[in-house]
Amino acid sequence: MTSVVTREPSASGEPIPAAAPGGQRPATDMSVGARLHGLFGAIPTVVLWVLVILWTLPTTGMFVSSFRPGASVRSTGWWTDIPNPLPDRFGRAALAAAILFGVGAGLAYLIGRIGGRGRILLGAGAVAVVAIWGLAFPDVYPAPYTVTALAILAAVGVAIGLLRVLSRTFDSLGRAGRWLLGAAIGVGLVLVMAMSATELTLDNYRDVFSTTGSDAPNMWQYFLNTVAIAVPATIIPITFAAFAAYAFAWMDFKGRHWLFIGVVALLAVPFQMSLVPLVQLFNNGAHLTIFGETLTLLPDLDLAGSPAAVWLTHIGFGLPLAVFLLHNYIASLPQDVFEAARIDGADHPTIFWRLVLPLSVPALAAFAIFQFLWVWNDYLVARTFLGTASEDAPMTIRLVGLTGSRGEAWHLLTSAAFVSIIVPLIIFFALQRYFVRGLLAGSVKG
Amino acid sequence: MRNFTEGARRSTAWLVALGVGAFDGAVVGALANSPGWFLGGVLWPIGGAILGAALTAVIVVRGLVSLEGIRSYLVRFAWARVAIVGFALTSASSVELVDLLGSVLLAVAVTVGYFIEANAFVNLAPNRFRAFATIAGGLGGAVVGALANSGGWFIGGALWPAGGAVLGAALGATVWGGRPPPLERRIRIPDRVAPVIFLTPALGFVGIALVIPTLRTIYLSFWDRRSEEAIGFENYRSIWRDQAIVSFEGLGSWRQLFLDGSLVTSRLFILGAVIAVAAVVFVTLRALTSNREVDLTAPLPTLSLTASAALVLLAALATFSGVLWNNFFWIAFVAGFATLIGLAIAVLADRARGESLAKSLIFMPMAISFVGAAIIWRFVYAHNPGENQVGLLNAIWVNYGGDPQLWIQDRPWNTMFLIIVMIWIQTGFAMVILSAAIKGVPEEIREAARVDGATEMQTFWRVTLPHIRATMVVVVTTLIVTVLKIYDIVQAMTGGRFGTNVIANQMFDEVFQYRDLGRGSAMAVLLFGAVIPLMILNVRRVRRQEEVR
Repeated sequence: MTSVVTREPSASGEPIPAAAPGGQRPATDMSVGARLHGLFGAIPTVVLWVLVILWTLPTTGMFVSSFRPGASVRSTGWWTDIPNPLPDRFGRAALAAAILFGVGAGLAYLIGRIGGRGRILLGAGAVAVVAIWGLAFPDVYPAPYTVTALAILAAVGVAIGLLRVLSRTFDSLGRAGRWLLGAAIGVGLVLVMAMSATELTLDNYRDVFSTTGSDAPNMWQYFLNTVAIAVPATIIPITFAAFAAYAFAWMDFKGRHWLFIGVVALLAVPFQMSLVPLVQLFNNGAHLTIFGETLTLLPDLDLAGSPAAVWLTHIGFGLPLAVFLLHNYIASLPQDVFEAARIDGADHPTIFWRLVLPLSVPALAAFAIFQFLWVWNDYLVARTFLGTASEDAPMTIRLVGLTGSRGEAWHLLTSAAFVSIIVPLIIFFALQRYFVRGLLAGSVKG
Repeated sequence: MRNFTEGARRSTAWLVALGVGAFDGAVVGALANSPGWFLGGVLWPIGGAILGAALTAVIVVRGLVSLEGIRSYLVRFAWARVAIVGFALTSASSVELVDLLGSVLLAVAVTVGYFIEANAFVNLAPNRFRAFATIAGGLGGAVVGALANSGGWFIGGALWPAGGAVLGAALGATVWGGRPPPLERRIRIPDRVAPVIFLTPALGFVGIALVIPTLRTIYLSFWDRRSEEAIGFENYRSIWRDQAIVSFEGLGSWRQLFLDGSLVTSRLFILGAVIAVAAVVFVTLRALTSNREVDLTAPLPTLSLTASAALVLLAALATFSGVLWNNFFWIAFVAGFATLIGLAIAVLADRARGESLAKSLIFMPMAISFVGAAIIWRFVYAHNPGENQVGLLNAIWVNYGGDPQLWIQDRPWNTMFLIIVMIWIQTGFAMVILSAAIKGVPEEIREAARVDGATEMQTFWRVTLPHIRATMVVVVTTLIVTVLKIYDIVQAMTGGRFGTNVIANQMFDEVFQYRDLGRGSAMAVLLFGAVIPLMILNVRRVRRQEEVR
């Protein structure tokens, strides 16, 4: 969104852009002060970022806790470990630089509203005032004080100039450049804290993977289990649903409308409705008793207590969403290509395989990510079919098991929780666009 | 250069053909000795591979089959080869990841193979009807045979499906194949059967995993704890009468309404009532004095009434207890607060710097599992006796002079602290969807309003909000459906104790702990019943969309 410069130029000859909703302004012809005007004059930004900090506080606390020794986790809060930067010379220097930056930025904002000649006047005036004051009251303000004051003024001037250069550079960085910069700053901060931190350790992460002892957390095993459940439950529904979605979108048959409505209705069915019958199915197979004679519809495949039961259930429950998502996408593909193909004599399978499937990759990716996260984070289905003590259980079950242990292993919860959420977080941040697309399209699912 | 690529392509094709020939030969060899009748063991697949490669070489060199023909043979049965590889991986390896890879390969290959072969089968109908009829007869016969002996009544076991297949194939070849339908009907068979082929796997799975179990659960809810005796609505009646599940103690009779401890006398309720009355009075007075209509949809009265509704709900939370009440409060507070906060953040972010990063960070809790979120917040709510606090909330509380609290154990507010976790998670969802909706409001309409002299607030309230009302309904209904099924958070934080239990937990306990299948099924049906109105809303919305198409 571009904004339009609507106000007349000020006395200095520089246009001051209007504050347009949306906030994206062309950056090329703006003074530093005007650019900072957006930063400082925008209360929404401040409020928003306060909210963001509040929102990320619990997760950050857990993250910091996971690097603290167990005894500290159980006895003191994680904020007590954030090092005090001031006692240290390095920290003092950093603090001084931050203050200079802040003062410089504030002054730049003010100065930006004055014209070129006014700025020269202001600078000269400030230096003159300090010098005269020092000269007029030499007993109260001896030379060192005056020199220091002049040095601060010079430093502020340098800071303003530096800001100007920095903001131009920042604007010319691409998106990747800005992420890199942010990451570099973040890493730098972490290093500074780590260097002066009181106690940070990787013990929790090491212990959570340990296999010694009867009650060992053994997270790696459960991590693999989670992968073993999530991957089939993501890939297989896609294969089934792609065909079904194509049929609903481009084939004409009797009852197509109502069948699709039925699938949409099933989106909201909670797992509790299938829980008992599915447990019975996996334990005993399905039998129908008519007139005293028993027909076996599905034999007992000995699936009870195995991860196959879990991902079969997830496939069943993921299919309505998959069909819905894919159908929406496939039905919105341009019709002319398919019409042309049909005229050329292609039948449905050929069109599906060669045209529809390659074009539907974004929707397939969106669903895949959504379903993968859903299954990875699931607890109820796994608990139902695997119980709390199974060796094939996913990490969510192990986590709840660890919460039950009081005292000794409680500090391991921090690292255990992080091991379980690191993969979803990576997928989330790397593929967020697809995740949001899946969410927007499938927002009917509960 | 072109000769070189031609030659390379040909040699690649050669290599592939030889490789596949070897593979097929190895499979045949392994199958031939699978019962282990002959000596040699692993020599059989190896010998088969060599023979297969040699055979392929002979075929290609002598030109018995063109390279194109070979290519179509390779492609046509590629699925079977992948399936065999997958199967070999699952049965040969004990490493979990290899096993997983094998199962996935097998499942995907079988699915794709099913479609390819089913389509090939159906495409036989127009021009090779006899073959079509034979195969169809064989399949039908096998199914009938399997069903006929599914009870194991007759001896023969696997011979029944096999025999049925042979009989059916013979019948198909002679009877049906002998009197094929006319050509124009035969030509349309592939198109008419295609939907069945495409839909059967998905719908079959959904039927087995969703539809039939749902019906059976409803059926089970009318039977007793072991499903041995039909007891009608007794399960539902016992749930309603159970004080732990739903209790109206805070309401009492009319006389008790104004006594201490009832809903009406609680401070929160009074505060909420006062705000509501004040808002209405204010609006009425303003209308009277400035000759305007009484407009309750203006920002001030709407927000005041919302605030007072929230206060009344909080008062109800403090007064009423019971599993069903808990679910009601979960729904009301999560859907309400998550939507409102999400809307506020969406609006803020729209005009702030660092929008996408801020939205990412607020959306992030949705990627975390509910169990993970519950653990993160358990650390926030942690309780230590004394001055030294581990939990953030208690640290702040103690810092300002309070005593350390057992936030998730003390009733009645412990439910609220659990609800806060869900609000923390779901606000990102509401924010993302509402943000997309807000950005979708056409800029011209907003410009027009601004030109007409509307303030920012008026533009937002009277122009933007009505545009996104439909989206807000979607968000609220989705949140309600999500929250109705809440289980993980309650289980991980309190295990359902201290009065925080919800329907999903109660149902799980009924089935697995108290072993009462009837009552558990009845609770599931109650849950489903609460979801049905929202399901109908969804269906109506999708129907409207479909009609447009």
